[in-house]
Order: sequence, then structure tokens, then C-alpha cells
Amino acid sequence: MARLLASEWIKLRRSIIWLLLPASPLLAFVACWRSSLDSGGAQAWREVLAVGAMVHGYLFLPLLVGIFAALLCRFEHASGGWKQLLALPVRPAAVYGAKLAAIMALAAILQLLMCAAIAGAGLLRGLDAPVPWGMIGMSAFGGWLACLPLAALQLLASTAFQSFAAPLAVNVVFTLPNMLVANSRDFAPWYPWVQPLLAMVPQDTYGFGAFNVSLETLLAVIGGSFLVFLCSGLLYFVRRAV
Amino acid sequence: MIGRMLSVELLKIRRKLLWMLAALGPVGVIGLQAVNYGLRYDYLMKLYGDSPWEGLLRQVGSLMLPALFIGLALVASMSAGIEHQAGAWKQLLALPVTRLQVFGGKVMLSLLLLLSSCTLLLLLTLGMGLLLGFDPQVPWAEIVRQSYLPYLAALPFIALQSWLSIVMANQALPLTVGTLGLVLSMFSVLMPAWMPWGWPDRAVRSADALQAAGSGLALGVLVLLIGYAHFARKDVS
Amino acid sequence: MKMMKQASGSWLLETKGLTKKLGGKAVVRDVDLRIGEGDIYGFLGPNGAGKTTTIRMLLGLAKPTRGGVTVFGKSLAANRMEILRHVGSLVEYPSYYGHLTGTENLEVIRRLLDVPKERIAEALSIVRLEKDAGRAVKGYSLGMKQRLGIAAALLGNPRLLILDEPTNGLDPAGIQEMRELIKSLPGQRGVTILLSSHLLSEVELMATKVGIIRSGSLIYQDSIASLKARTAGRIRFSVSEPEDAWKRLLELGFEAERDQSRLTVGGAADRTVASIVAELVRRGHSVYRVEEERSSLESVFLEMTGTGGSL
Repeated sequence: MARLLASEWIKLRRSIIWLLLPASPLLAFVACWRSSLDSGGAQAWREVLAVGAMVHGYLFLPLLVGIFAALLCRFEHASGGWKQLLALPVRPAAVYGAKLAAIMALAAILQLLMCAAIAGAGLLRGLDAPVPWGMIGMSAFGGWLACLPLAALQLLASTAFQSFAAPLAVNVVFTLPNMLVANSRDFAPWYPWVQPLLAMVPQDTYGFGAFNVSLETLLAVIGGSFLVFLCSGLLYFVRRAV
Repeated sequence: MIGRMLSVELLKIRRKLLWMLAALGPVGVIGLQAVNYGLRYDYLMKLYGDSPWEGLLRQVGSLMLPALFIGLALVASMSAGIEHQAGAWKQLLALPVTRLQVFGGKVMLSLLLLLSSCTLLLLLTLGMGLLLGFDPQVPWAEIVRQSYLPYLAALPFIALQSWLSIVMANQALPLTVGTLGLVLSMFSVLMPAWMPWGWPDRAVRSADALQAAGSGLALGVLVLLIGYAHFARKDVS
Repeated sequence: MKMMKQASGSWLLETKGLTKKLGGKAVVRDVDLRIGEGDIYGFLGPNGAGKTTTIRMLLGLAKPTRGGVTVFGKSLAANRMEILRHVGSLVEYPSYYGHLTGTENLEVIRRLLDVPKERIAEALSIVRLEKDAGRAVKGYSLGMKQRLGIAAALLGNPRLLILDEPTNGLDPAGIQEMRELIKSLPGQRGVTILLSSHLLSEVELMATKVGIIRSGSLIYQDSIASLKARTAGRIRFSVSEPEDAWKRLLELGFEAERDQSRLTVGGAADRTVASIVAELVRRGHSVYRVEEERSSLESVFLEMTGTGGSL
């Protein structure tokens, strides 16, 4: 497994992804820096974080996960390389798992960049309270965790389609409804694509829609959808490899 | 010649998902709105009082804009992707067709598909309003305006995405740029009037909608010229 | 170098000082190609020598840094459209739309060339793909895809056919089929062919004229017959009492080499061979074998492209 991960890293090293990763954190940074605040003190940090979370988590984060997945599968699709990869003495499931781990690793880097962006923006504004690393960290981690089911589905789509655009289209089809779902008290807790946003926005700040839903529900939805997507993906991939 | 290029492009996308994508956008938007109205009918009717058509247009418009932004990137990418996948650039450009015709053909395909999507959206919006029992006195001017002006205003992006997807085999960059465009467009209210990401939104809502559409048309043509100039000089790999 | 000029005095395709620099390095340097009508011109060179880059310049896919291309007597840069209308090409691997059928793939090209619909059936029959024309190309074997590529190149009834590695990836049967097809084209359809390859053996069997490129420069350009003439012919004799025979030949002034019971003499004309045999028999040697030993075309080629055999 470690070898597989290492090989994914080598493939990624020279890819375009490193230019693209900072885009969302940068945007969030600008938004957090420039947005108008209502409150002061520790509340101010909450608001800044909420702004950053909205900018990043509403559309960008779910869409970026799709781009990661498509990018990781692109190398193999482009050079007929699936045959080569699967002819090695590795189990197809391990290959799949390594790709998924790579997607989540990229997502982790992205979230770390977000933490830096938010902290930086807040500091630049000269907020009085010290940087609430705990809150920011939890937000980033929660967002990361919520990406698991999305990554699993996108990996399935990216292995199934040869073009780069098709899995992205799938991603868009599921992500765009966020615009309506996020505000719905009834549906938001159940919709996997809006979970990253819900997980990242600190609770009790903008008390509208479903943002105050319990952690348990969130985890159940995230965990459940992750299992469903992962199993479907694995089944498809392993069957195709044979 | 234009007709010939277009007929060839249409032949090439036979049995490809690209057709579906062009239809999926409007169907998806209206579908979501159907759910929206289905669940919140009373609230929405109260909110929009005596101008239900305007309300519907506003709701549709809010979903249509992001769909347009990402849709145009996907269409441009898939259209160019067909040639990249087939390794067809070297064959195409070794034929007695000018680079302008090749570039133009691809751009025209995207423009045509997106125009069809906008038209489909218009028809579906109309259908939905009538089905919901809105006043049969349809505000034609508004509907047509909302369906086509954002398309014109988004022309610079159609041009940009087409250019990027044609000159690069790796679609990761064009599609990420497209995603970035999508997200930026969501913040159009914060943008000054000269930033293109806000123009489609302006074309829907504000008083200077025609101006936004016109700027889009002008900038779009400019980006197309730049893109073509680059493509014309490029060596084919 | 002796050039074979045409009766009309002009070449079908000619390049003057064709040069291409990539990143400061010249990958093609001052190449003067000359292809006559009806030739099957074999463009040879090791991998990376600049063959594909040159071909791209001939088709207008890449712009030369210096120098020009003249086809059918006209400048390529100025008359690209007109010229390409009569040129068919297959560069590296064939391009095809996998999701379309063979016929549909050809239809795409046909519409762009603006030639009548019958050409598709004609082209398919030339390459023998009529049966599979209705299937999606992604299901074709490599040989079939290659043949489809040739059909596409022939669609416009070209006067010049440019084929880059046409036997790439084909099995021996496929290679032979391709070879027969290519050889028949100039006679049957009046097409001039430029084909590039790194396989001398293939070119040897097909070409009438050869151009050898090495590190971007054209180091040889002449008929295949002239190239073959460079393979030195040597005569080998197997005789009894080889030691004595050898000494005798040396006395007579021949540059003979001895390898056990075999004597080899270089560059001997018929009469000389006859007189050697007569002399050996006269002195009582038994002559078991008289064989011709040609150094292979391959070794000549390697010599030219390897350590530095320029002309």
C-alpha cells in the first residue's frame, strides 16, 4: 500500500494540481479579510470563519474533490495505463484504496491551507482575540471528513469515464443543488454534498437553515453515504479489472 | 463553409454524452425549481404576491447562472476533448481546412449547444409557470431577456474555455479555471461593474442588462481573436 | 551525389534548407529533400533523427525556423490549402474517433475535403475494410485502424501520400499487406509516396528512392539501387589446400583474405572471378564453392548513421 501511495505521489508531483490548490484558500482569504463584521472579540473570529467556510465549502470544496479524483485517474486513462497498473502484483482493491487515500491527502492539504488563510485573514484584520486554532481546526477537520463520501463517488465516476469532464459533470449535478438544499431545514442534514459546508460553518453563528443540526446526524449521513459509494466503487473497479 | 464545419462537428458528437449535457442543464435547473416550488409553494406565492412570473424568473435565474458558468466550461472541454482523445488535431490540420475553420468549428459547436440549452430553459420555464397556474399573460420580454442576455454576457468565458480546452490536451487546467469562474460568479454582487464575472448576473437583474450583454459580446469577440491568434501559430504536437 | 531528375525538370516535392529549432537546438538542419513524381521515397533514420518533425513541416503542422517547402511546384507557405487538397497523410499513430464507425470516420474527412460520397466505398475497398466499416472503430484491431488511416489518406485521391511509420505495430501478415498496397499505389493510382521508417528492411522492399537523415541532417539521398551498389560485393572461394591457394592469389596481386579454408577477394568483376577459378584449377586445387558475399544494406546503413559515415 505504501508503495502504491508513493507511486501516486510521483505521478502527482509534476502535475498542475499545485497551482490549483491555493485558489480556494486565496479566495477565502480575500473574502474573510474584506467582509464586514457585526461582532467583536471571540465572536468576530466565528464570523470570519463562517465567511471563509461559506466561500470554500458551498461549492468550491465539493467541486475540488471531483477535480482531484479526475486528475488522479487521468494519468492512467491517458496512456492506457490501467492495464499496466493492474498487471502489477497488487490487488485492484489496494489500487483503488490508494487513489482514495491520495484524494483525501490532497483534501487534507487543502484544508490546512484554508486554516492558514482564515487565520491569516483574521490576523490581518487585527482582531483582538487570539487565533482560535481549536475552532478553525475542528472546522477544517469536519469539512475534510465530510468529503469522504464525495471522494468515493467521484473516484467511481473518474474510473468509469475516460474524459476529464464527464465525472466533473456528475459532480456538478450533485453539488449545484447545494444552493437550494443548504437553506432547507429538512433536507440539508440528509444531503451528502452539503455536509462539507455544514461541517465547516461554526454552529450557532448564522442560525438559519440546517446549520444547527446535531453532530450525530451529520456523521450518520456522511458515514452511511461513504460506505455506499465506496462499496459500489470497489465492486465496479474490481469487476472491471478482472 | 460554416455549414460544412458545423455539420462535421455535429457528426462527431453522435452517440456522445455531450448532447445529454446540453439538455441536462436546463432540465436540472427546472427540475430543482419544481422541487423547490413543490415544497415551498405557499411561501413562494406569498413572497412574490402579484408577480409570480417575476418570482419564478428570479428563482430560475439564481440557479441558471452557476449552471451556465460551469456548463459552458464542461461543453467546451468535452467538445475539444473529442479531438484530443482521437489524436485528431494532426489529421484535421493536415487537411485543406484553415486553422480558422477548425477553431471556429469548435467554438461554434459550443455556442450552438449552449444556445440550445438556453432555449430549452426558456421553454421549460414557460411550461412550469403555466403548469403552476400562473397568469397566462406571459411576460415575454422578461423571459426572453433572462434566457438569452446572460448567454451573451457570458461570451468571454465561452471563448476563454474554448481556447484553453483546444490548446491543452490536459483538461484539468481549463476545468479548474471554469470551476474558479463559477465560484467567482457567485460573488458578483461584491464586484465592480468592470469585472466580467458579474456581467451575466447583471444581465439578469439590473437596469443595465443590455449593457452587460453588450460588454460580454465585445469582450467575447476579443478573447476569441486572441485565442485564435495563439492557436493559429501553435505547432501541433 | 547523383540526383535523378524528372523529365520535366522539376520535383514533385522539394525542400530548401529546411530547418527547425526547438529550444535553441536544431532538430532538423538544412534538409534538401527531392522527391520525384511516381517515386516511393523511403525516409530513413534512427529514432529521434528528425523524421517526424520534417514530416510535420511538410504538412504545415509545424512552422520551419528557416527554409521552405515546395510541393507541386508551389510554395507550401503561400498555397497551403491548394496543396493539401492533393496530399493525404498518416502521421505516427492513426487518428480516429473511437465512438464512430469506420464509415462515419471517413465521412468526417469526406465532408471537409468536399469529395463525392462514392470515394468512401472506393477507399474502403482499396484497404479491404468494407466488411468492418459499420463497426465502431474502438473495436478495431491495430492493423484495421492502420488501414482505416490509409483509407482516410486516400479519400481525396491525392497526388502525394505522406506516411509516417505505416507498418507500426502490425503483425508480419499485416506488414506484407501494407507493403503490397503501398507498392501498388504509384502504378494503379498515380500517387507519389513519401514513407518514413526506422526499419531499413521494410524500406528496402518498398522504396525506389531513399533519403537518410541523422541528427537532423540529410546525409544521403539517391535511388535505392545506388544504395545497394554501395554494399561491397566480395567473392568467397572454398578450396582445397587453402594456404597455397592464398599465397598464389597474393602473388597475382589480389587482395585476398584467408579464413581457414575460405578465401575472400574483394570487388571482383565476372571475368576476374573466372580467371581466378581457372588459375586455381590449373594448379590442381579443388574448388568447392564460389559464393558472393554482400555486406548487408543494414551494415551500410548503420555505418552511415552510426559512427559518422557522411558523404
